[in-house]
Amino acid sequence: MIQTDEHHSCNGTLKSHSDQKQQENNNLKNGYHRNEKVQKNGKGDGFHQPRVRGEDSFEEAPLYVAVLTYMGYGIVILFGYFRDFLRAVGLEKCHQAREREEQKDFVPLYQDFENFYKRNLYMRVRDNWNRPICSLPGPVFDVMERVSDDYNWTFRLTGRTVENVINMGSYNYLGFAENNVDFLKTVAEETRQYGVGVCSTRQELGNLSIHEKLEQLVAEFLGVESAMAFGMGFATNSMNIPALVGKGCLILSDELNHTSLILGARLSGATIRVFKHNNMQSLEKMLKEAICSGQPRTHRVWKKILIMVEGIYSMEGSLVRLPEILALKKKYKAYLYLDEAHSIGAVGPTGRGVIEHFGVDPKEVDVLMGTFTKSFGAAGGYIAGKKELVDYLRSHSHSAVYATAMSPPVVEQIIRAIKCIMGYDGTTEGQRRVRQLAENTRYFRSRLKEMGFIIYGNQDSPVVPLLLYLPGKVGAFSRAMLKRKIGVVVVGFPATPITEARARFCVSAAHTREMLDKVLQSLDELGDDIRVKFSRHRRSYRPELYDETDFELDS
Amino acid sequence: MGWLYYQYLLITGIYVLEPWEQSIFNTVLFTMVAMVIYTSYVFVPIHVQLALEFFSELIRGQPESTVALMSKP
Repeated sequence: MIQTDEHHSCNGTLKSHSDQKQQENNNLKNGYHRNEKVQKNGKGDGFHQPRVRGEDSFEEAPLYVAVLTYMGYGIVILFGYFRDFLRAVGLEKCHQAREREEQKDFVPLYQDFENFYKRNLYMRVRDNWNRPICSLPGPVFDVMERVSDDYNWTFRLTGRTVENVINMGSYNYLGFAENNVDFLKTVAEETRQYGVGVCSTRQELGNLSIHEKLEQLVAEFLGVESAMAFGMGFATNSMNIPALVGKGCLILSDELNHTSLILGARLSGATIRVFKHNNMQSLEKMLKEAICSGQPRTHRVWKKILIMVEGIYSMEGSLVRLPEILALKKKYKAYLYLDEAHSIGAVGPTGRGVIEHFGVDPKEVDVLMGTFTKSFGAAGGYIAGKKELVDYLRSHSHSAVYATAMSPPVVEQIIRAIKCIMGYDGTTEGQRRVRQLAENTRYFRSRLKEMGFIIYGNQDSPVVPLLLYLPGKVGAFSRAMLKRKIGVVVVGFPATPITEARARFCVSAAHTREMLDKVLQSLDELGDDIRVKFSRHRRSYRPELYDETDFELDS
Repeated sequence: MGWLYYQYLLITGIYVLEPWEQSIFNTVLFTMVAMVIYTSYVFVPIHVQLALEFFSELIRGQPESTVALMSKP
């Protein structure tokens, strides 16, 4: 029976107890079970065990690497001072903004020293970022070739494009950044009906029926009462946290939280305390201290304690320790704000995010936040939770009151992506993509570990940071990969600690096995060429995998 | 040979600099290494020889003085 097949394929790795529940539903409906029932995974509190979370790995490099990194930075800084001296004396042309001669005695407008890093280090390797792309950011894309005549101060396009570059940097986890006409039919229809601009905020005249549909669908997808969607993911965090907490509240935020969370926390005016990354002892100590001592000077009770964490941290690829945080939250009566920007759609057996991955009830997390930019191929963010919370945010959030509403084609893209994942469009395409992403992630990560690179993060996260450490190797790595027609994102100092520069790969469900093999082979060669295989763990030798069986089967 | 030079560029961080800056750094480094080699070639054998003489003087000197003391009375 076709329906049973679908039922099995959609349930992924659930244990057999869930089948019991499905059987009951089958009997109720005379043997024909409607498609909707298949999508629910059953309750998380007893029908299946919470998944054991693999350990995050943060392997340290040998000591000589740290020494060489500091030495490299020291030499380049010395040369930076030398060049600044030449520019100040006038022996060299200064490309940066400068004050006019008449304003020399005024208060300085351009802070010269603050831009030292940007002027002397970043400019030299600037051609590895902001590369212009002239196709959609799918699994392969086209990059426009550009050259610089004056060492990256100015660029010019040669007019040629580099075609079919494998894309290992876009947050295209489920491959929804596509321009297939069949998939985008509904988007085109909605654009014909609603147009593209909304010309108003949600509170005034911008609340279209398509927005209501989206919010209902998001709430159903996550398994919560109600949800609200905003036009920009960054603004969802930074504009809504001030509406939830204020002065007299305490925010406990993880060390490596994203800038949007930090900005929202600072704007709110609450007291912020930072606990060590994923460290539950540090968090518990802070909770105990907060409850015992209260507010700093008056020792009054804190109005609210909010714990802010992310599902997957985008620079490390590590997963949050959700069951432990929930236990702590219940014990000390704090609230939890979970930012699932990178994990919604990307982890979990049916793509419901880190909550499903751990088998936790979504009603236990107070504020669920996520973005549509990463796995759904659109733009925007959402906040979901209890109905009272979302209704409060509809009238009190800055983003809801002042920001323009989401554009209809974008909303329809999200709707069709969610329907695809949930299976409402009648195909198993969504679940196939979720499974393909999990398989690609596991394959990519295990092969990289075997080759001897240092990889951070949890084995289930599709964000794979590969550590490069030395400043010279960062630029060389990115350029060499582009020469081999693979586009990667490298990250350096301000976004990461100064000694830990890295290249960050984002695995996608749209990558085929051949593409991943090509990338892995290039990485292997490049790793030996540039010498970045720093891992000291023993690597297991594995024979090559072949697609077809080429041995004789005995009958 | 070219690969070794490439490794040297990457490890010291010189890879990001412009060619004339690389030349300056190479010249300075080469000069310092040359001076170290010259100094060690000229001075190290003499210093080692002097040190050996000093210590062997000390060891030979000891038994002589005790013998002298014993045979005095």
